[in-house]
Amino acid sequence: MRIILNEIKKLFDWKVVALVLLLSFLFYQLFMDFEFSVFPNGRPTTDHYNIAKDMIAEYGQEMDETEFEDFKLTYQEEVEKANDYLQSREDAVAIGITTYEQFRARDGHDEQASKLSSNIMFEEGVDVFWELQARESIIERYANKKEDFSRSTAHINSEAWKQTIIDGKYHHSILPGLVTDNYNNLIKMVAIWVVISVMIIVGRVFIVDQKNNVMLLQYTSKTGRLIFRKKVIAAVITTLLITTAYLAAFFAMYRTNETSDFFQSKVWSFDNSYQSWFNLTFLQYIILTVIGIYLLALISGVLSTILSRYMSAYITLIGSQVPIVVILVYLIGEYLIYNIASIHDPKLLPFITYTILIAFAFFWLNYRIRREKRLDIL
Amino acid sequence: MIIKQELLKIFRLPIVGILLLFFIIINGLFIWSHSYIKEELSVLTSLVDKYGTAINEEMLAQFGGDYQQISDWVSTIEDLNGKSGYEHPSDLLADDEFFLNPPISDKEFNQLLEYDLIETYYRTAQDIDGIYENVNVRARAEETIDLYGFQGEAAETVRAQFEKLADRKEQLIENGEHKHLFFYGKIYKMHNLLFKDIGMILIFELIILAVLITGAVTNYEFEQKTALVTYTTKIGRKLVIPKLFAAITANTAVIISLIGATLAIYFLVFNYSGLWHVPISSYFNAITDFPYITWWNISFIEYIGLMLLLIYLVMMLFSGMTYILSIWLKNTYLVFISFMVILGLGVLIPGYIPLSTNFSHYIHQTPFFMILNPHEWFMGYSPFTISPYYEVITISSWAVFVAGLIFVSIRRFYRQALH
Repeated sequence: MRIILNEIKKLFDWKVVALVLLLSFLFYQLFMDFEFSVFPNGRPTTDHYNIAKDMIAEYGQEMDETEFEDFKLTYQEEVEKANDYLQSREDAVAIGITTYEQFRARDGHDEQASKLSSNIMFEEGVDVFWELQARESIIERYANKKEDFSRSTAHINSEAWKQTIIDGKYHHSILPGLVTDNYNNLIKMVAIWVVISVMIIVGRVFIVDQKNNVMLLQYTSKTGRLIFRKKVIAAVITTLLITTAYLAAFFAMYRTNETSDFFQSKVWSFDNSYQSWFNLTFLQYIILTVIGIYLLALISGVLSTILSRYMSAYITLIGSQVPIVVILVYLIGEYLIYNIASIHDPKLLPFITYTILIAFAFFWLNYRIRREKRLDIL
Repeated sequence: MIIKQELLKIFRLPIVGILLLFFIIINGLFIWSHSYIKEELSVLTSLVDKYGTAINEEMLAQFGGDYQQISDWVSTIEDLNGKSGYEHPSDLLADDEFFLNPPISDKEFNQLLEYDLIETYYRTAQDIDGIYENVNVRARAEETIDLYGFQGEAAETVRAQFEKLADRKEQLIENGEHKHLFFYGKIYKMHNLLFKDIGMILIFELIILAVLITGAVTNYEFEQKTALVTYTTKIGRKLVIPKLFAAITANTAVIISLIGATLAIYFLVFNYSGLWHVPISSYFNAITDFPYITWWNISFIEYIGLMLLLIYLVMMLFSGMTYILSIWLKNTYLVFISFMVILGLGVLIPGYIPLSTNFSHYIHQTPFFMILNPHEWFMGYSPFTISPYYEVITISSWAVFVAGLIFVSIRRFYRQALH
């Protein structure tokens, strides 16, 4: 236990940790800050987001057909408000735009009408007009949900599966795509950064001792070759610590996006283009990605540990980590984290890939552990 | 001879070759993933075979004559309602129903699709004059200033540069540089594929290789625990100088192999025959309404040459910076991470500078910012890199800066405690 603790301390070398923290800050600024500071991004996205929250307060996590009628009534009421506003504006009445219907159907080339609309939408920023836009897109998507569904599942040949989706009223869930897109973009970057950080920090586990010729002493001491396993355990614990620290920091920041209202909504929503093979709630989807990140961290931690034992020069160590990082980053962006279990990929693809990666890391480690017992150390 | 020994220290390691091979495979896969447009691109190649690339009265007359035959053929085809007499292939294809269930044979339909592409080239070729009349460089300057939020002095600088670009545009219209056939940018984005996507991939791969190689060569003695021997021999600490040259030589070899192999794959997949001398400012390269305008008449092949030269020089700068870091840190692992920190800072810091004084322009004159848009080199396009001499000034000022730091670092190394 004491050895493991000391090995962990050695991994958290202050120079490396300081550089990695600095690099984390830069990574955050370059690739993640935007999704936090500009969420929801502009109008009518912000209105859409707020309306969806109101819908959940009013209808619960789902909106059925009768509630949809109610939603359309609310839309009509909003239209009345817009009409009142237009009639109260002299410049609108002067060019004959007195109802929202006329406002929508205005001629794009008509200079006065364009001036009026840009004044209402941008200079004055009248809420009701933006909200109407957002409501229209929600109504349109809800009304077209069946057609959208058959279009996006055209490549799937299982009628029975499709029927369960329709019978299960999967589309009634209220969860705007902007919320899951935002989460997906962020969690993808978190996953990439966890993999890289783990690689950098854990990669030193053997190579430093090897360079200082401490290995010879260690392998001939009382603990002897058991040190290999202890170091592997130290590397795994370090991996878990780093991953947990990053995830804790990330979710502390993610709270500021205030999406918890949607946690109980099913990810499969009429308002969301991401569709999953599984009937997950948003919270379950989040948990799924967190599990994915832990697995990826362990895979990269174990691979890094093994490489660290094989390599005797830093250039070879980093050089051999680069292809692994490139491949993992690619897979994370394709389906291992980003849009995991989407119906656009084969159902079992993420699971098979994870299994292969885990098996590869595990068997290599196992082979190395057995080999360490009878290895010539000079 | 010492350089040769230093080089052996690197090239004896299989990892350089393995990494190089890995990057070549990745680039090959990336290029291959775009190869599906090959067939459509060949339509343009055969047009160029027939008419050459220059668009002029004579060429348009000849092209127009051939296009008339296409038009005649199209007018015989009936649409779903039995109506015929369409003038252009696109008129027929505009109807989604027709596109999905064509009432003609597959062979004819494919022919129609090909003619549709020829129509695009023919009609765009005719429209170019009108399009360039409508390109308002000064309005573009104001849009750019608004978009980025330039103020005061900095905004004036942007305006002055766009003013120069307006003159350049007039000159370009006079010598007809923009009127050349090329792969249609708005559909295929070939300029961006080659110079932006592949250019960026190459640059980042080369950064990894250059930093690793330079770091490993320079730190070799400390990492192999031979420093106390080698640096006390007759050559002694002067050994860091051959190390610098060994790093440069090794990087040169790696740059040539990686770029050479990647471009070889690229040009094996995409056929550019007849297009090598088309100016980069050709309207067909444009992907937005504001076309690419190079500051000088640069042909495609010259642009590739210039790109290679700039990538090479930038890599030498990065290699030099790594060398400096190595002399101070003496550990390739720390050097690698530190270089990534510097790169990140170099990309990030300019964004924090208020856009009100010319300092905001100077701060963007770094190799770190320059490598972000390799497809806009030597062009008047984005506000920070618009100056005609942006690339030359950036490279030369940083070369002086890095060379100075290398000199100081070596001097410092001569009188440093070795551990």
